Amino acid sequence: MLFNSFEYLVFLPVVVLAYWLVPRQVKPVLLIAASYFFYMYSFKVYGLLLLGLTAANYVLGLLVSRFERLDARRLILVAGIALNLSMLALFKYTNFILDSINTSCAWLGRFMAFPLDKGVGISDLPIILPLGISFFVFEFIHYLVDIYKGSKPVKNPLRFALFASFFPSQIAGPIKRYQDFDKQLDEKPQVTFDQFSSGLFLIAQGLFKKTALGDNLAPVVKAGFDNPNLMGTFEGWLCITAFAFQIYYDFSGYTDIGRGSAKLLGYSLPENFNMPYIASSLREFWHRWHMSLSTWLRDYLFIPLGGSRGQEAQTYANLITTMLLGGLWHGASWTFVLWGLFHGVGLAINRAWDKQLQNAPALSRAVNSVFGLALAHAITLVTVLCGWVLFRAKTVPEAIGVFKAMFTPCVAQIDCEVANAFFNSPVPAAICVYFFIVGGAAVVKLIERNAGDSYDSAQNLPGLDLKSFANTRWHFAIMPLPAMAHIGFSFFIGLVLLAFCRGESQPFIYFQF
Amino acid sequence: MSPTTIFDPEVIHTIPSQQRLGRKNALQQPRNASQKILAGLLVGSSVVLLFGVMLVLSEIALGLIGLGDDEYIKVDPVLGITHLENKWVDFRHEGFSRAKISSQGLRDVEHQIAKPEGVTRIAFIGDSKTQALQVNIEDTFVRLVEKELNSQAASQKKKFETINFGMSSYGLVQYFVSFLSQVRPYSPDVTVVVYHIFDSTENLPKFGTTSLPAPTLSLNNKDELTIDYNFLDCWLHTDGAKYMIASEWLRRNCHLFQALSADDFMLRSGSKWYMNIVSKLFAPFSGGFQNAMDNVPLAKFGDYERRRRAICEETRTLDRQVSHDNIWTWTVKPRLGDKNASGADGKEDFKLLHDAASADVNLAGRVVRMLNLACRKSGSKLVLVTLPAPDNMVFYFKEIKALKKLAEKEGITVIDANAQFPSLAPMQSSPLYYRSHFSPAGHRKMANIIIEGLKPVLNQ
Repeated sequence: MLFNSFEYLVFLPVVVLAYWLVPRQVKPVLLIAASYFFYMYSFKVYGLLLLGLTAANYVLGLLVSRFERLDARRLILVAGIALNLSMLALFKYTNFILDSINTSCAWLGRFMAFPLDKGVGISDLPIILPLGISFFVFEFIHYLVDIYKGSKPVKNPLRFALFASFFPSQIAGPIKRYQDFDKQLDEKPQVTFDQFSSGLFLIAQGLFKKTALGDNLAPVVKAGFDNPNLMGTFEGWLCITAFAFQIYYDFSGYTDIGRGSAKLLGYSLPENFNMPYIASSLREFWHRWHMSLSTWLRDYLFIPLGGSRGQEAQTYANLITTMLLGGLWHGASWTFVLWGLFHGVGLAINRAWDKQLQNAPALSRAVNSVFGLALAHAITLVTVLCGWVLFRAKTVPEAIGVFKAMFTPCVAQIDCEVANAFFNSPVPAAICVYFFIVGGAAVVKLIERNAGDSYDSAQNLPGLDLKSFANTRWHFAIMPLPAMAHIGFSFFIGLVLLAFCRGESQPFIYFQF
Repeated sequence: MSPTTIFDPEVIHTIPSQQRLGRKNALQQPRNASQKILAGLLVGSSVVLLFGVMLVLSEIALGLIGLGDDEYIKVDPVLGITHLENKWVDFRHEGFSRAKISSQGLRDVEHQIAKPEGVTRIAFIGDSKTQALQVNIEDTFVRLVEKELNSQAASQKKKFETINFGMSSYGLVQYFVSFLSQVRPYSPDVTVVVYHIFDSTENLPKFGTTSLPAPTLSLNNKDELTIDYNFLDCWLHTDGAKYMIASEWLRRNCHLFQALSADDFMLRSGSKWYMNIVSKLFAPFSGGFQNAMDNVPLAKFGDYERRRRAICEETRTLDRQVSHDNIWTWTVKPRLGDKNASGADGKEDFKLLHDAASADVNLAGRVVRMLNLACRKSGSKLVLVTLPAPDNMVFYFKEIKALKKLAEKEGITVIDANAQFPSLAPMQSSPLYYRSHFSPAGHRKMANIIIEGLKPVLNQ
């Protein structure tokens, strides 16, 4: 089930209403049932995969915590990680491996006049990637590793099943930490009117980002990547900038909808984005982009590989390996591997540069000047954009074609549709509306901050606590203004979105991971 | 402290926290029932007011940014459907464009009906590929032809003007009726019919059809052809058509209504949940809707019966004056091994399709002859442009061959764009198309092909 579908528009209010009406003991069961319904809506059979992996990891978690001997614990941990990764490899990388073998044999055959110059004839297997497998496998691995390190396992199977299947973050993250999630299950389920309305606003904002901005940028990107040889320099940069924002609005929009949905249920999910394109270094970019993944890679790949504890060369190797595997996690294609490698090398260079600055105060002063910072931002942005070329291109020749357009001064051919697609699209209009919404939300926050206790509307749902209204002529001024503003803006966004979602609805980009 | 000061943010900051706490506790003292009701009413009315303000705000926002202008069709009792005149249309289902339908209801710039002195006028009649909602007006092949012809003829002081009469879903019968009712008053020197797959299949209603938003042909037992309005009349009396008539003002002027209608259409075909939920929700109101639709008058269309009669009479007259010879004179054999939908041998099914196609094309030949005669009588030369199609459209390619043979005999120029476009497999993508309609690149290619093809006609 997609977040931007009519089905979800019906599903979410029904689940939220039911959740707040049922007794406390039933709430986790209801959420698990809803989450499995959500997951199995597209492919029923993969519900069994999720259930099976949940059960297996639950048992393995208990086993890891049970044994005192380190080698036994390690053995179970390794078995658990192997189980999770093998499921991921089976569904995600089987055809990639077979294609690579085929292509390698064909290449070798041509190069060495081999009989296998047309490949070994292996055809793809009919495997459909289960939605969200990359995300919940990472959550399971994090769970087992943390237990191995000493955290307490989740004893209640229902709580663990809810952690694994929680629908707002099930398919495309954010990648949760079970300690943070489990803590929320101990608290009394409640949500204030403000939290509820801000959850609604987050959902509306996320839908706007995805539908009005992300989806309308897709034709610009498609026009460029389908025919890179037609693009000129301007079109090349316009195309990749459009993709940078398409993927940002798509993914952050999805996260907003997920976080907003969780808020309506009284849960809090970690933030995943923090204005990534204002980063002044690649390192900072990864502290702002897909934060739940970068912290996972740091804690469960980079640090176990040795982190920065060894020599510098080893640290660089660890960085590159981590990012290379992170790239592979994104997709079963050599372009994703190249993208990961690109960022790994970039981070290594970033680290070396930072070390250089530590030993050169004058250079450090220059870098921290206004001009230096501006240059740093520009270089980071260009680097990230170049990385996105590798990410988006389906093949290496396609990526090369886009790079040629970007870095070879030339004018577009007459049939190039990139500029036409952008300037004729609703994106400029959507950006204006987005600024209005963001500006309005900022004003609301300002009022909220200044209004103090008079606007305190901490009542528990269901229903408003009418006792909080003053016995004066000015009853209406006591209204929970920030909450009402959130609801008003959400309604405005919903209405405006009716007109924005005219074109082809694009699937969420991160669904393919 | 007066009650009003608690609402002053400045004052709030200066109130000691204990006092604020005390006030908060005072505020939370239980109130009596009437105060609760009053507070509840105030909350309710504030919410309604808020939603009303947001409705107005979003309508203004959509108007300012130029979105939500999805509707472009109105009901027409002679042609079935035509454009909403003077209407901005924002089209993003395939490609993207924003343009205004002219005051004459054409997807084109404004044109005078009376032909200016010294101007050679070229009328283009066709379906959605000619209408070209997918690109801006200036990027359509119709406008590009005009620009290029004027540019080439600048030194000779000749002037050309093209007019786009294209309308989505039109078929050959509508092209013919459109010429008689819409195009002829403009006195075109050349009439270009942009011909496409299935243009001939819509001539006669298929078995089981009860209503159609278009005029059709009918053959009586004396093999006399005329225009049949029965199916269109049935359609005009359907709830759908009447709803379109009744909601015309909203569809012209309210962006939110247009956006909602377009979303409703999209969801009805894309979401089973939506269909089930909406049909159940509206079931209690369907009786009222039915009654409301029964009261929609068709008299607002004026004296359309007279216009229809004139068209039918002229059709009969023209048909008597043209040859009724068949233009499809082959038998196409099925490919070996072709299977039907249930996996059985497809020979019988193919024969049925073949016979239907040949009958349609033979009838199309008569209509083309009538159109040619009507053009000649009004001083216009008929040109047929056959559009490109995927390479599995076997019957269409035979149809083009048949039309070319007919054209040779009748002195009609045929511009075979299908032969000049790169061949495409079904569903294969190309930079010349978006999905099934031309991209700006495709329009440029079409314009070049048409200009080359028109040269002998314009030089005569």
